[in-house]
Amino acid sequence: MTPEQRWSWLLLAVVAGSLGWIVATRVQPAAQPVAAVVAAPPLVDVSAQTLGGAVVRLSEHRGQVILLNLWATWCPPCRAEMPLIQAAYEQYRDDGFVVLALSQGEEAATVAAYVRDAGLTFPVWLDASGAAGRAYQIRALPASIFIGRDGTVRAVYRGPLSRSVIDGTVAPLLAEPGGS
Amino acid sequence: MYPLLELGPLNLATGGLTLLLAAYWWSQRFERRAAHPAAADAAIAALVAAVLVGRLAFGLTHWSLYGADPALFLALRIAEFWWPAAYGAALLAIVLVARWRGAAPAALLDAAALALPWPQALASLGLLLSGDAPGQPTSLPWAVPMLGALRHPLGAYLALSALALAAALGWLARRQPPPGRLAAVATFGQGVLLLLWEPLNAAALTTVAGVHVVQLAGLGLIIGAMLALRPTTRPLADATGS
Repeated sequence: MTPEQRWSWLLLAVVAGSLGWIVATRVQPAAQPVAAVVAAPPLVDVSAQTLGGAVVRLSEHRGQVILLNLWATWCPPCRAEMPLIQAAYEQYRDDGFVVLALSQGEEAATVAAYVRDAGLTFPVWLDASGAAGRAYQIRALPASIFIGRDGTVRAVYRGPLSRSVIDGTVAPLLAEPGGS
Repeated sequence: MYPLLELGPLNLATGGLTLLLAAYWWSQRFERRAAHPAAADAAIAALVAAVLVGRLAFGLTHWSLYGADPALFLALRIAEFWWPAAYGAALLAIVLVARWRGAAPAALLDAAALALPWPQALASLGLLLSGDAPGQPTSLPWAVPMLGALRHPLGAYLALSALALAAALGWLARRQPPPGRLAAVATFGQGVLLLLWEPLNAAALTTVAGVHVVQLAGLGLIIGAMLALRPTTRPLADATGS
């Protein structure tokens, strides 16, 4: 066997091994809730206000797959992702998916007008003081935090979401068993 | 974590600052190692190409969003670059500048590759400290608290891997390999890095049927590097591009 042939076989072996690793490490639902094996607070809870003024907490949605979206009406990338988030919400909400959009530091009237014009049907809350952003160490908008049914932050995305990112993240989380 | 550096009225993102510092450090190391007048131009071209192509590739892989609103291409964010494409574009830019300026492309590529791992380790540590590279939750004893859970210190893994690559390249460089081999080995190493660590990245959400697209790009780098390293009976002068 020539050195060239040996190298070709080595290349084939590396490609085969790499593909095996890629398939083995693909995103798939966890067999058990992640919080069960992680000694950490399962949920960074935050409170906010609805557009009607009621105080609400993130923990009220425990058990659901949550997309916590930090945004503002003045932020163009935030506006750009909203139709895609709305479409994903409509597709997955009956499976236990909820979008909680936290407007950062804005007036209720401003946000309500945008929500009406954009036709958003998921909960949109007001985070007047930016407490959620601090709690989740987010300092640029938009940012999205995907929380599993067990209450742990499973993925963080900085920047506007595309549909493929939402689908690829939410679908495996929805397939996981519920948290304790 | 230290995501922001507060300097008077300014709140500066430490992750971005670290990346800028690493890019500057790489360009200085590259120019010093290349010791060729074309290196300065090649460094600038490589950085510009990396930013533009990395950003463009990211937009193309998220076309549902960027196609509907192309103005998004103008918003630069650390998370919104496609690093494998940026790496490839930087290599190509160096080759083009070398040919334009009459330098040996393989020699410049080798110098660029040898210069990269240490700044890469710095950038990785910066992303760890700024919280821009959150790992997946784990119960391992060296996990770090981040985003409400104990997580893999992905930035530390990346930094250590870059230092291992630096050691390997340094060892190889002392053996005075043929021109282009250092760059090929470095590219192989970068591919392995993407292949290994992407599954632990909690911010790596670009997938197709659950498969991380960046891992496939890493495999592409590995294949390209192995093809470049393939034993050949061609005269050495052909392989050097000179």
